[in-house]
Amino acid sequence: MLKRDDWLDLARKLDWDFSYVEEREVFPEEISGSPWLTAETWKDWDEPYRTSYTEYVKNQSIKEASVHAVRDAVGKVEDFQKHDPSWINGLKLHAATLALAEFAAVVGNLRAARFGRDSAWRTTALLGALDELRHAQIPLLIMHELVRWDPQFDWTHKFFHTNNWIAIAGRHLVDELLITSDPMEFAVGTNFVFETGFTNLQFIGLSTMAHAAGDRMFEKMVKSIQTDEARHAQIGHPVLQKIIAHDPKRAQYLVDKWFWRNWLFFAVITGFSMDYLTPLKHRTQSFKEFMQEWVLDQFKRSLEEMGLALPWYWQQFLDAIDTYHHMVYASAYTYRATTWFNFALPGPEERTWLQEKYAKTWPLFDPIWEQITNRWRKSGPGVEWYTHGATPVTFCNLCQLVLCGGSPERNSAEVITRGARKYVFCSKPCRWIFESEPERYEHHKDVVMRILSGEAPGNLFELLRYFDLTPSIWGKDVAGGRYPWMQLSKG
Amino acid sequence: MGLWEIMTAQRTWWHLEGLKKKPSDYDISTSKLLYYTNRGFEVHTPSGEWLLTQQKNCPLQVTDWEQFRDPRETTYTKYTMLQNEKEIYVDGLLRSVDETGYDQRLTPQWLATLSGILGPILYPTHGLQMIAAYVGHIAPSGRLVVTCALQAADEMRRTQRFAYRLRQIQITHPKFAQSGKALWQEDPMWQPMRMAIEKLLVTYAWGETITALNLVLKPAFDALFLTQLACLAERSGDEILTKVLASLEEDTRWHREWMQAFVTFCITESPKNAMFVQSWIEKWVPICDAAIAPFLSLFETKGASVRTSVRQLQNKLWREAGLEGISA
Repeated sequence: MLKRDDWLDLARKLDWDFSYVEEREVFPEEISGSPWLTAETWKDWDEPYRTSYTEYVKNQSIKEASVHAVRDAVGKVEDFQKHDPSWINGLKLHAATLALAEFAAVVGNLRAARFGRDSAWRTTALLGALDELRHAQIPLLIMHELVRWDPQFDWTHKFFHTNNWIAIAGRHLVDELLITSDPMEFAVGTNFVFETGFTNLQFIGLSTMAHAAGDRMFEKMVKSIQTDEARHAQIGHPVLQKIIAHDPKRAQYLVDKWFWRNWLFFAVITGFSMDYLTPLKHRTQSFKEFMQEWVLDQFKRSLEEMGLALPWYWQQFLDAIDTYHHMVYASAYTYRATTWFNFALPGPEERTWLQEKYAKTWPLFDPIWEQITNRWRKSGPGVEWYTHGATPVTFCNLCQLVLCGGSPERNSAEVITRGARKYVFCSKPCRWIFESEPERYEHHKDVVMRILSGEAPGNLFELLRYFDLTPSIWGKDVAGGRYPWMQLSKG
Repeated sequence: MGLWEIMTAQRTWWHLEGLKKKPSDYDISTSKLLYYTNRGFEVHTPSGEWLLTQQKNCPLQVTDWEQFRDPRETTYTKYTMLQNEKEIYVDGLLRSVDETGYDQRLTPQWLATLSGILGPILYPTHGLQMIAAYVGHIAPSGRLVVTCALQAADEMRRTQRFAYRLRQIQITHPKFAQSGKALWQEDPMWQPMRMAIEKLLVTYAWGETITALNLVLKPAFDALFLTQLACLAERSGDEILTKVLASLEEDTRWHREWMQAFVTFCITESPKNAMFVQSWIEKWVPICDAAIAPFLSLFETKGASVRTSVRQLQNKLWREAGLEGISA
């Protein structure tokens, strides 16, 4: 057989000069991206994997068989029942935010498979679309089995279809990043920042923890997905290089914007799992340590290599690694009925561990958990509402998450007025992103605005229904306050 | 509370509970995958506005796009397994070319004919890939997104198999098909086809795009460059190419099957849809006829009109989907 490199370029470099239509008609700027560059500029575009169709279906069918074999062996309800309830709830959080977001990425990749400016890019993006279809279908097939055991797993599919506040925040990100960005912005935001910048947190960090927790199914799933991501993520670099060469300001803007937006997403999804929902004995590193080892160094290095500066908010971001996910977790714990998964209350051992890992900032959070623990002691187990907030909270008009920027001592919220409307942001970077492209964001109705306009109810109980939650679904304390340590350390 | 205590009567996803049978893997992993179709987007971007506008302006309308099903019920797992089998078979064929000195036996006359096809054809097949990807990204149901994405991947397969075979022949015959791009861009024979592909690339109203692609142009293109070319290859003593083309033709048979199911679904939902599809067919048939006309004589044999057999294939497809045929 011929070697791939002997023939593949014949099938990868297939752009031609149009005669019967204009190039700008075939690749309109609004849908193929800015800056608009001629085909001539793109013709040397390349990526290193250069996978052929034959190799693709061969490798992928083997990977599929392997995932399904693990599913048959350890993917049954009984297998999941063996895991710690905290870990299971981390799974619910991940599963919900994964499947339909991956399918959204099918759409984004297909747009690039049509409007990407070079045929090799389009071909790699098409394989990317197929990969993302896989990443949508694997969790749907695995988690479907678990619905009959625990209806909260229904949110693996349902989540993005709901008006839940986290789903609104999720859509606000996924709509822009995965479904409706042009192929150039998609390549920077998704391929470069999200996939090469952040997903190691999941693929290395979380799969290590899954291994330690004995969850072979989850470990297998994320590791198998990672091998696909590593390939199609390669689209990002060469597209970003073209943007840098022709519009360096836009390149820097897109990187800065998407690093911040993606950071907030991972802080919630991975931060919760690593520092709260993974049982202490299975934790190998803290979220902060994983961020430092797998995100920061590598990301800084690739920015330097490309001649880009660190995002302007870098120091603020470094500070946030110590605080942000702790702020959101504490806030979400006390509003857990507004979510579809259960929360673990950090006990004395967990708090000692967190103190060790976040020596500088944990003293600000510890009193919050002390107070919550004392309220549980007072109410006794099973009384969820005694440790639960009752008044609706305020959300950031960019990221749509609760206002959790800064620290418990000093919230970093910012307010601006545009026309007749006031907008509030959790942080300076969120405000900056909004003000850079207000036409994208200013019409959005956050939860508070929906309440004020009568679209959503103001009463928390009714609001839960608006969030698509029922008593069997809404989030609770994972042990209902029945922690052995609570008894032991009483008094 | 023990975990088993929260065991419920729920057996499947929220939206499949009314299903009267045990949901299949296809039901579980392809239903309601697009969450935005009724609610729109949380942000306004140019590409997002484009997508919503194209969806809204499409004359094809049904009460629920979710009801469309791919008759093959293709999931990702099924697709990669199925296609891997086909690729193993084709690899075996191509390997036998190397092992038997096959290409030395190809006649100069056949090589001259094939050279004029294998070089340029990579460009229109890549175009067909782009057009399928376009419809996939704009499609209002997840299942349609999936079928279009997999069809686009099949086009990639065809392009790459042609490219491989081309390079393989060049090892024995270095001058073979050296000017594919020039022929595609300049040879009068290819220009009507190039015009059809370029015009279809900028046909952004997706109902028309998928009709022109899957009901008009592709059935003709595939009949010519897979079925008829396979016959010609056989007559010219190139049985390996005949077999490779037969494997590629299997893919296109599925493209016609799911398209037929799609059109039948649209017409059953609303008879008005038939009118739109019919009008697009009428618009694109002359463009398609002109595109294939220069190639007909290449494939003709005594007593058999290729034009007639292409039209018969199209008519069969249209009629079985519930549309009217057109005379040859």
